[in-house]
Order: sequence, then structure tokens, then C-alpha cells
Amino acid sequence: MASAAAEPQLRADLFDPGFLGRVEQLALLARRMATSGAQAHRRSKKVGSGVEFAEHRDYSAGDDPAQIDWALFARSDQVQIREFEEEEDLSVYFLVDHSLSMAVGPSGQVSLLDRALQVAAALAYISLSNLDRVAVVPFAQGSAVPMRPVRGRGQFLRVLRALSQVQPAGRTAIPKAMAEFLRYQPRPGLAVIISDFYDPEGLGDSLKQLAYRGFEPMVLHLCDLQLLEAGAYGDVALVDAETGEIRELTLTPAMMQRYRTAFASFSQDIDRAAREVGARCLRVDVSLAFDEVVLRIFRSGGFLG
Amino acid sequence: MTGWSGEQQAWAWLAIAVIGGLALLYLIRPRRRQVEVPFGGLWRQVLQQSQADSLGRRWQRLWSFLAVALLAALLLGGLAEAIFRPETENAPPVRFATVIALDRSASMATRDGAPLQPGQGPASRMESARRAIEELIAQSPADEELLLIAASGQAQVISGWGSDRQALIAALQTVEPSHAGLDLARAVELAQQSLAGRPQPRLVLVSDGGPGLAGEVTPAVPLQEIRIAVGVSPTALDNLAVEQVYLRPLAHDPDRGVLTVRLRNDARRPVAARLIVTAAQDARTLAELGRDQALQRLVELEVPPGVSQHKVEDLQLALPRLAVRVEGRAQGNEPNWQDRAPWDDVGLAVLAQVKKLRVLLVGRPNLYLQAALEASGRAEVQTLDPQQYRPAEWSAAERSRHQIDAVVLDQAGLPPPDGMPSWSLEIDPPVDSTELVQRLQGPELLVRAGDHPAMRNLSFQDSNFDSVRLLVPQPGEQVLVAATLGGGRSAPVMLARETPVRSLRCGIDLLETDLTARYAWPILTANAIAWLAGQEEPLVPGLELGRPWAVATPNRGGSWQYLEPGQPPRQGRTSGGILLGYSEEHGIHLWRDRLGREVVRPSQVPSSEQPTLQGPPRAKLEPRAAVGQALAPASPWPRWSWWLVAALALLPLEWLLYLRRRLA
Repeated sequence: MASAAAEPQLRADLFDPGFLGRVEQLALLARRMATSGAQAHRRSKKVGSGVEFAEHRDYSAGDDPAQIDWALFARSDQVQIREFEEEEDLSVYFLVDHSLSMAVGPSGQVSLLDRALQVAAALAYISLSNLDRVAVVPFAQGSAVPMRPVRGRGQFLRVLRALSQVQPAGRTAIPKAMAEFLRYQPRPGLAVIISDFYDPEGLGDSLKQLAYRGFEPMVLHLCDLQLLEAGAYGDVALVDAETGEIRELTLTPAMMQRYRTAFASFSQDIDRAAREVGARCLRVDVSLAFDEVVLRIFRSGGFLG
Repeated sequence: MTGWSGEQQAWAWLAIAVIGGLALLYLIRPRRRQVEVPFGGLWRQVLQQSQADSLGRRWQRLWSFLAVALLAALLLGGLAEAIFRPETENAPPVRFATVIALDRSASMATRDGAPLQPGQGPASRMESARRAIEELIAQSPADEELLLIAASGQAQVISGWGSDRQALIAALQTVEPSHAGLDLARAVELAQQSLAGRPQPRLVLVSDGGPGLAGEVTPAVPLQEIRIAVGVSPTALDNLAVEQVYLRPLAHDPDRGVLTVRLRNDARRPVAARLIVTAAQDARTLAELGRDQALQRLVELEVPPGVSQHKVEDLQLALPRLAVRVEGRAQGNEPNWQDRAPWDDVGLAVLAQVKKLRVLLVGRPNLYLQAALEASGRAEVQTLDPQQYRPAEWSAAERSRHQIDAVVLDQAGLPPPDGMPSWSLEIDPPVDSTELVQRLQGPELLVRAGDHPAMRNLSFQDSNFDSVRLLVPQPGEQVLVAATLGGGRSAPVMLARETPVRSLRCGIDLLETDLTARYAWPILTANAIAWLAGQEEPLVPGLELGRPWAVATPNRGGSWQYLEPGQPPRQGRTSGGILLGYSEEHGIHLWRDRLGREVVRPSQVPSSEQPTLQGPPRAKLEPRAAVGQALAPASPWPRWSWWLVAALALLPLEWLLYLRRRLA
């Protein structure tokens, strides 16, 4: 009982049996996509003593003669050394924004944070199935202490429990949170950032810092597109979810059009920051089911690459 | 609410109802629907953009733009105004053109007007005219262009076309009366030339009357004519005038002489006066005399009414040019010496530079002829017996040593000397019987060349001659006097030759004439000797003011050059001579006629310019009419400065708009 009390409870509203079944299906789907050649498992970029052939290079003194491709020598009379990719564990970090703005969502549907947790859980299961090392890192104004990366499908429950502990709190401060995350000296790997990116300060050079430290950032921008399609115009008081600031205005079609324009500009800024570091950026609506989101991620090639 | 009237209670209940209603409306006012949004930053941008794009914001920017544009336009307008439209062009468009012709004839100096200031003496007509013109200028509208002409014997533009009233009034103050009459035709002609092509031409004539004012001069171009009369005085006028000055050197002492002055007193009483006689060496006008004069004599006298003649005896004639001024003693509180009409107070006399002529008289003793020669006061006579007269033997050196100016041959048949002027009195019968001569008994003589210098001041009218000798003219000889022969025929009795040397031949026997002709003989002698010696006309010995004068010229109406001191030569109209100098102010002109003679003449002052008891004819002068509307006072600021002021006034508005943009 004591251990059970110490163990955090899973959020049944998010990770119900149905969710787990859908995750298992996604894992099978991912595995099929990998074996079909359409997509491959993620590989580390190290070249070394693995079994997968990587490339040829010219022989130089000191090289192991056993690595000379004699067959190639026989065909072309060139002395080349065969190099193989070195397989190693891939660390996948799910940086989940849990600021108060993530708690907002379409009325009667899941919030951005819940959707982010579901997507993160699904992707974590797939990664665990690939024997990758998975860690969940909630962040808002700062970064929480990253959980110790786990490996193997059997550790999925720990991941779920970690995700279940994430509650909306604080304001969004991505640069600060990324800096704190890097301060814990995490092992470089794939950094999946799931957020609405509603940071007044913007992304800044957060993605560049991650890339500089050897991470491969992947941006998953969750947004509530239904808000853009609000049909109830009129006098409203807009309450900022993070600051509580109230702005009274009269919603008109023209104003909604300006909001769409502003949101498009905001999204373009995120895309631009991602492109600068070669990261994939996927923008999904919160109204989409989590498995649909995952499938889109698969199709984009940003996760199963 | 006790104690309130019913009406007051009704109003109180109404107020409570209104306040309660307003409170209820406030409580049930529509509440805004609260919508939680994840990121207020985006909405902040939207709201800012909405405010920026709102109509008010756009109008705010538009107002600011309009203010800046207006500011720039004002500055550019001021700059363009200053560059392309100088102040002289800033005057309103000219709708009227008016020429003010101011009479500056001699009579305008007459002081017979009401005093302009209390305690002052009578105002002159010129001062009254200036005052009238100043009032006219003050009433002139701003769109009226004015030109000031001063008219007397000449018409002169004093101030050119313009709207600068101050400059016009300043030019007006420089106009002073002249000593000439008013030639209205010239003034009207100049006014018409100036008004040609200008809108609504008008001529304002300010005068005290004179020739031409009574309708003789009609403008060729229709123009509105307004006449302003000045100087109408119903009272008698005290005036002293110098009518004539005559200077005569003494025969025995040419350095001394007698000055005769003819004065006119228009007052009906004797007036105590004084004559101031001044002299100068080179001054030709009274203005020059004022700078180069020496007082010769100061004579106090009493001038009777009418015309009187006064002599100044024993006057030194070392200086050849003399001026005489008459001043009357004032009465009452007026200054000591003053004349109400000072324009004719001065007379000028010029002493002729007389040269003694050496005359060789060859002939029988003729005391009458010799007396006539010496009576002129200009001849030194040497006599020579005809037996010793051998001109062919005279050498050139001998002729030069004797310096003979003229030879008088008082005997018929004496040949004139070659190369020397001679006057042959061919009275006796010819020695050579073959010469065709004819004596005419009881002839009637006619002067055929009255303008010849030898015939000046000569007339043989009513003279009786027993006989004359008819002469046969030779080539080059001009007939001066002829005798009538009846039947319209005549024969010369006196001939003159100009070249190669001057010579005279005369067939008149002096001893066979009556007394009238004998009186004329010395004049003929003096004229003949002077002409033969090359001094055909001495300088005018006296001046007569108030008399018409003229320079004899065959091309009257032709052109002559008007040489005004300090001015470029310009063409005159009415004389054949050259005007060397003049003083219209004092009525003196110095001419060189077509024969090269220097002639001093007084300017013509018509009798209408002379003050009379009733004044000049002014019957047709009209009372003064108002001209135009009052002139708005001119702004001391240039027009472009108003553009700048408007731009500066706009700056605070633009600054407020800028602050509003910044604070928003």
C-alpha cells in the first residue's frame, strides 16, 4: 500500500484502456511502416562498428585490413574500407508545455494539455517499442527535472505516470525552460517539443541551443483552430489564461480576420525558427484525435525518420 | 417633503424616478461574454491593429497629413510670394489711372490763401494746391495708380506711375512755383501720353487758372477731368513786380553805368520797398547768381501805384551780370520784407562785353558821320585823306599792326580794300562816267532785309529823302534797302555782301534827308560797324518780364536741342536755337541762335499769370469733386510674412496631433 500510495495514479480520463489499445495499434503501424521500407527506424548518425553498411572510404595506413572491401578491390582495383553504422540507443525527450494556456481548449473537448499528454504518451510507447530511451520533461516558466530516461516497452507505465502528474501551471517561458533543461546535461537525442508556443517572448534561440547541444528538435504546435472560427460575434471580454488580463472588445468578422492574420504571422515565426535548425514543425488542431495526430506525425516523417 | 408645494413634490418624484431608472439600467446593463483565450498577446496585436485601422485613427493620420501638407503649402506659398511677387507687385490690380497735373506757373507763388496754420501768414497758392492734392491722395482708393505732373511752360513728370502714396507726397513737396506761364496744352498732352492704355483714365488739374483752362484745350482722348481751383481771392492783392531792367554804361566811363528799373505796384497805395542790386561774373541764371553774387547797391524807395521807373545811378560795372530784386515792406505782423506774389520780383541785366572797334574813315571831312561813329561808344575812328588812300600798297603786316576792323569810304569811287570789311558811302557822282548810276529824286525807301544785323532797330518809315543813288547789285550782294520806282518796280540803294569779306554799299545821302532819317543814322552806323567787325548783335542789354519773347528762326516749329544742365540733351519743339541754360524758376533763358549768337531772354510770362485784383479767369474751374474711395492704410508687413505667420500658427496643431499619436 505504501508503494501504491507513492506511485502516482494514472489519469483514467486520458489513458483509459481504449487509449492503450489505440497506442498498441499505432506501434504496430509504425513497425509495419518501418519494415515496408517506406519509413525506417531512426538511426544514430555515428559511423562505427555496427552491422549496417554505411559507406566506403579510402584506405589509409593504420586501418584494419580486415575492413577492406576485397570484392570491390577485385572489381575496380580500388582499396576501400567498408564502414558500418554504429547502432546505439536513441534518447527521445518529450518536452510538454503545461502552462496555463495549455489548459484552454474547445468547450466540451480536451484541452491542449490533455491532447499533448496523449500524443506524448503514444509517441513514447512507440519509442519504447523501438528500444529507444524515453524521458518526459514538463516545462512552463521553467523546466522540471527530467525523469530518468527509461527503455523498453515495460517502462511505458512509468511514462504514463509521469505524464499523469503534469498539471497546468504557470506562464509560458520557452527560452528559459529550454535553458534549464539543457542545464541538466541530458544525453543528446530527439527533443519533441509539444506546446502552443504562446510565449510573449517568443521562441528566441531555444531551438538553436538545442541543436547546438546535439539535439534534434521536433516541434509539435498544438492550437485551437476552432477559436479562429468563432461565430459568436459581439461584445466579449477576453480573459488571458496565463495572466488573467481581461480585454473587452467587440468581436466582428473583420476583427476575426485580423486575428487569423496575426495567428498566421505567429505560426510563421515558429516555422521559421524550426527551419533555421532543420527541425520539423507540425501544427495540429486540438480537436483532432491523438491517434490522428500521431499518424500525421508519421506521415510528416519527423518522428519515424 | 412636507412643506413642498404640489408642483415641487411632482418634480421630486420625477427626479427620483429618473435616477432609479438610470440605476436599474446600470444594474441590468448587458454584460460582456467572457471568453478565455490561451494567449492574450495575439489579441493585443489585433486590438492595436484594429485601433490603428479604425476610422478615427485613420482620420487622425489624415488630419496630421493634411496639417503637414498645409504647413508645407503655406511655407512654399510664402517662399513663392517672396521670390516671384515682390512687394511692388503685391499691390492690388490697378482699376483706375489718374494723372494729377499741378500748375506750377508763376502765379502759384502768390500768397493770397487762407493760412494753413493759425498764426501763420497767408498761404501761397502752391501750398493750398499741395494741401488739396494731399487730401485727394488720401481719398484715393488702393487700386488707383497715380502720376504727378508739374506744368508750367514745360510739363514734367515729378513722380512716375505707382501706388506708393508716401513717395508721391514726398515728390509733391519738391514742386515749387516757376517764373513761367502755364502751357496747359503741353500738360494735357503729357497726361494723355501717360494715360494711354490705362484703365479708366482721369486727369485732375490743380491750378489757379490761366490760358487753356477756359476750354481752349480739349483732350484728344476721352478722359474724366477734374479741376481743383486754388488761389481764388476776392480781395485786392499787394504785388510788386520788376517789369524791366535796363543797364546803360556811361559813354565816357564804360566801367560805370546807370541801372533803370521799371516797377509795377498792383496795390492801390504806395508801398515802401527796397531794391537789391547784385552782380556776378559768370552767373547766367538767378540761381547761379545766388551762389556767385556780390551786393552792389541797396536802395530803399517808395513805389507808387501802377508802373513807375527808378534809376540806380553810378553803378560799378566791373561784373557784367546784374540782378535786381524788389521787396516790399510788410505791414502788420508780417515779416519785414515780403511780397505776396514774389514770382516777378526779380529782373536780370547782362552788360554787353563791348569791344572798341578800330574804324578807318577815308573821305572828306564829315563831322556828322564821325559823330555818328563815336556816338555808338564802340568805335575808335582814324581818318585818312582820300589822296593817301592806297590800299593796294598796304602790306599784310601793316594791316595787322593797325588792326583795322572796318574801313568807311565816304566818297564815291573809292575802291574797297581787298580782304578788309568796308562800308562804302557812294554819294558823289561817279568818277567813271561809264558807270551806270542813277539818282532818284524824292524816293520812298523800303527796308527789304529787316532781320539783317545792319538794319536792326531801323525803320525809314515817315522819312523823307531828297535823292538817293540807285546801285547795281553785284553777285553775292543782298538788297537791304530799295527805292520804289513805281509800277511795282524798285531799285536797291543799300547792298550787303557776306563773302569773301563783309562789305556794305550805301547810296543814301545823309545830308539830303530830313531830321527823322538823321536820327536813325547813328543807329545805322553802329549796326554797320558792329556787323562789319563781326559783332552783329551785342548781348541783350535789358530784360522785360511779362513780355512775349521769341528767337527769330526760319524753321520755326522745327527741332532744337534742349541742353539742360546735368541732363542728357533732348529735343525741344518751338525754336531754332540751342538753349544753353535756363532757370524756369526765375524765368531766364540763355540761347545760342542759329547764327551762333548768345541771347539772353526772359521766359514768357503771360499776362494771365500776373496777379490782378480779381485774379486770373477762373470762371470754368469746377468745385472740387471727391475722387475714389478712402485709401486703406498700407500694411507695414510684407505679404509673404502672412504666409509664414499662418504656417507658424499651424505648428502647434501639428504638434498636438503628433503628441496624440505618440500617446496613443
